[in-house]
Amino acid sequence: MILQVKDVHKSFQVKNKELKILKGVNLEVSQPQTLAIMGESGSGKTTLLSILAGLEPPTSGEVQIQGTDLTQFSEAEMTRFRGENVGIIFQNFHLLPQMTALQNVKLPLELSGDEQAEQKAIELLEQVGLKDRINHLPLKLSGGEKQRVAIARALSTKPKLLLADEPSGSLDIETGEKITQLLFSLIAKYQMTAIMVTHSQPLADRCEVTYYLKNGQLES
Amino acid sequence: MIFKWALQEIKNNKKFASLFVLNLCLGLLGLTTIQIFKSSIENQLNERSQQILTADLGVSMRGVMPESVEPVVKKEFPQAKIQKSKEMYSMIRTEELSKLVFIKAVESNFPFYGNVELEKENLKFREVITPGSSNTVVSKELLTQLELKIGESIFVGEKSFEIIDTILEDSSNAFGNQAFAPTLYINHQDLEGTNLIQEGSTLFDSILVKFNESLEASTLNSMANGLFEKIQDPSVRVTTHQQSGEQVGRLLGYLSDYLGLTALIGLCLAFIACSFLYRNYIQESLKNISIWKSLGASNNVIFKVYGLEIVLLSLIAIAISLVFAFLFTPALIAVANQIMPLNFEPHFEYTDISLIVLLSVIGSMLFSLPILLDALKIKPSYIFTQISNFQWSFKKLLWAVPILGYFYGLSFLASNSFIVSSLFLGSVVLTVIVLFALSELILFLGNKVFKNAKSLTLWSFNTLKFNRFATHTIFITFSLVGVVLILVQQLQYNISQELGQPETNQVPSLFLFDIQEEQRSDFEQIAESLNLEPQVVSPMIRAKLLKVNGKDFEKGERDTSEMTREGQREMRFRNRGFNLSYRDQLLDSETILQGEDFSGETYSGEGFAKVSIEERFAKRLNFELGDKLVFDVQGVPVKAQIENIRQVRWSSFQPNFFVQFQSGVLEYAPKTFLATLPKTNIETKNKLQTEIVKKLPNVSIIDVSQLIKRLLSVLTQMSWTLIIMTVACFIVGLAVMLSISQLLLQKRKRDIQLLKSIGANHTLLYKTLILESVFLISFALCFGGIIGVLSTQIMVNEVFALVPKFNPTSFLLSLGLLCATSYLASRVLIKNFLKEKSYQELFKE
Repeated sequence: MILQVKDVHKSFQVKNKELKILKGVNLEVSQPQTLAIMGESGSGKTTLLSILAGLEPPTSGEVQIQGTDLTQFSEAEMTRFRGENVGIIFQNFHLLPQMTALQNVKLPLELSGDEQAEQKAIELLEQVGLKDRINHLPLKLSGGEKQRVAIARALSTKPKLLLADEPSGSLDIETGEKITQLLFSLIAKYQMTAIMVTHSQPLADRCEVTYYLKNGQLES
Repeated sequence: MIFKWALQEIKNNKKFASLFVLNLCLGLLGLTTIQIFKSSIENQLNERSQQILTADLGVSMRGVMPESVEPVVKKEFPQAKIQKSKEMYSMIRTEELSKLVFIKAVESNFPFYGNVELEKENLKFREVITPGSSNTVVSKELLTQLELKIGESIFVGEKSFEIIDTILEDSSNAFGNQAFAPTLYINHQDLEGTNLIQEGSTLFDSILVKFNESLEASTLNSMANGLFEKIQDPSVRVTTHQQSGEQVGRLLGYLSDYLGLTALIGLCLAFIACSFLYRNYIQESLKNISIWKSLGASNNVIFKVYGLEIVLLSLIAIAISLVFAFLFTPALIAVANQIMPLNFEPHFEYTDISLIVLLSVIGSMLFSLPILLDALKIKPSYIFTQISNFQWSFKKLLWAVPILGYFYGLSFLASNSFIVSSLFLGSVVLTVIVLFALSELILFLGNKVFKNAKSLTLWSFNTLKFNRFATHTIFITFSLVGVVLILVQQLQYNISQELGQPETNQVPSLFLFDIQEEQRSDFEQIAESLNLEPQVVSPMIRAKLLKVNGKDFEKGERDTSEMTREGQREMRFRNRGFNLSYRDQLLDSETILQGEDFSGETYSGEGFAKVSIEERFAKRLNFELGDKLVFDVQGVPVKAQIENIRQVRWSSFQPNFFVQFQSGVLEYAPKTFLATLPKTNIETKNKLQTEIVKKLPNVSIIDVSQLIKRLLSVLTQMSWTLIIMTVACFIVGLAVMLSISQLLLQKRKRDIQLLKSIGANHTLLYKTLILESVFLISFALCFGGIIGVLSTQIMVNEVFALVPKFNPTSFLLSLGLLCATSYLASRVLIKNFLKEKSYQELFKE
């Protein structure tokens, strides 16, 4: 079992009122597995993804990755754990604009102290088809290319768990399809577990399991 | 409606509005405080000018006034009341002790205006200082210094006077003379018996005039002009009471001029910050502007809304800065009262406030307009494309012209001098260009150095590179602060070192003047009996300049109130009498700059005698090498030609003269002597003083070390005030840095959240951001400091004609302190920023 979510609740205070987003989410994911979480806008998909990535603590409940309870970590421990075990792909790519494709991919490797960071980053960029664009700044890349760099960056530390927030959401259908194909081929290659938050049915259809987030709870 | 929309914009952008107001307010604070300070001084000097002069009009000259002047005055103003007054420095003595005092010999109806209040309530000044009474009233400290009591006698020259009382308050004592020596009043008629006035004696002889009616300044001025024309003698000055007030305020005028210029740097920094904040705000408002446009709003309406917003924010900033300026002005006034004990009080004129308001609004508009006008070019389609057509073009540089014009106007207003304001603005612009180039150089070199650095370091450096405008702004701001602070501090060090180290530059301990020709040998004997050898004994001959290169020497304008500082200085030079001297050789404090040295050459008796002219004197009167001059030396015309132009180090406190003849020309002219005596112990100094006062009562002695002490104290007060103003500038700089840094951090929020999400921990990010800040600020402050030191060296050498010195301890200490303060401020900002744990930016669509 790579991921275990037990009775996770999340609520926010909005103008002295408690807004309950997640009302007892439970989930178990084995390795390797691809999983899609779908739901209406505002249903709490992104909040759940943030909690799974350790970016946001749950109000109550437990999140375990490979048996380690994330909710017990300090901020520093969480950052280190995330760097080594979790890769995240965002809808808007979020590349650092002042750094080249290579530097963007190299960054997580260097942060984890990998001495072969550059070589590994180049290899990954080759795998996502950007061999000729490694020294380009994000400004000079197309949307699809940016997402390829983002995928390479997310996979650079070979995380056990890959989380993706609408990975093709900002791309046109054709490019989105190409990126989805690339993503799934790499997930298969590296035998990773991936959880994708999406509105896209075709993307969800590619996943082995699909969950729906409704009324703060996951339904299969 | 426009007003309502502008207010709405402010309400919706509270963060921008508060940062804009904070920066502008800090920038304006210095200028506003100085303006209120200036206004207080000018207003009160104006109000009390009649009391300062003690009359409506004063006719005065250095030396004894020719008898022909009084009838001219009486003829010109037959209805007016007239009284005579003579003022001089002289030694007085008791049986055992002696002391230099400032003697005021006045008539019994003195003063026309104001009052000399005595300690004893029942005594009236006019009833005490009567002709032939041999009464005197003195400053209180004189009794302590000479161990005297009221009722005892003192010798003023050869005459004994009885001390009737001490002075409680003297409204005319404004020139600060009492700071150098205590005041002593005697009757004008009693002065004759003292025998103090001899040929060539140094004194100020005045005729004071009071009119029966109160006259407008302009009327009084034209009457003074008329009298001046009739008197003819250029060494006689005619001063209205208003001008007298202005002259008293000259020293404070210089102080407020330079404070004003320092404050301008603060304002300049604030405008840079405001312009940066506005640029950022407008960039974020582009979407709003395009929505306005798509809804049918014309450029005119949008311009009015955003323009009014700036005016409103500027007005809020001015209002706050005025409140604080009123709080700070009393402290500045207290310094002014230390320098010139006139009991100034804070005061302001509505016209000054209106001027500040107008100038601030114009300044804010000038800095914001180019950005706003650019933004108005945006097309409504920006809502969909999010592509702005902001493009750099050289045309935009044209905006620098009104901005420079605006600052030139401000600096002229602050300094009242074309030269100072041109030099100031020129230096600031040049410094900014140099700093801009340095900032670019750092980025260029950094690019090479950090090429292979770790990604996070590279990210940090690249952020500086990608936000060039912000990086340059912070760099230039901090460098400028460094330049000003180090300049003021090192300048003070250089001047105080020059004045305060008598051992190294052989500054004398005593300076004697008014030694008559027949007293010279007696003086030398007294000195010899105490084993003292005079350092220098220089003859001094009073003269008038009649012709320059065959043309009559033009008398300067009398009224200088409308002139710039340079004009006033030139006129003061033109209208003063000339003191000539001659000497066989140059002193250590003199250096020939142009022409030939004529040391040792004696005048042959044929042709023009050779003269040496002091450099600045020559410059002010447009004298050049080879010019032919004719002097009137006590009625005898003496022809001379300028043989050389020399530089004089006035801080040597040796007798130096603007015009120095070769020997063999003036030896037979009536003259007095000036002399200096070397450093000696207090006992010998006192003995010498007592001997001289007994045997040569008309000779005055200045204790140079006391004088230096007083000068240093004034200098220290003035430079501390300047340093405080510079520190205020630094605070503005810090606010600028913090505002810009905060904005940059906000812009990097998403980057930071991303870095955290991929494994960069809090400590690593904190270290990276702090290093980035320290890197930029310490480079900026160090370069600023170095430019400050270089500027000081140039100024000390070129302006003060001194050998430049450098104080590394205070330089390093100041830079260290500035760096540490900036580091602490950055630390607080970054720590607070990193505290935020949200990752919302990453999931925004």
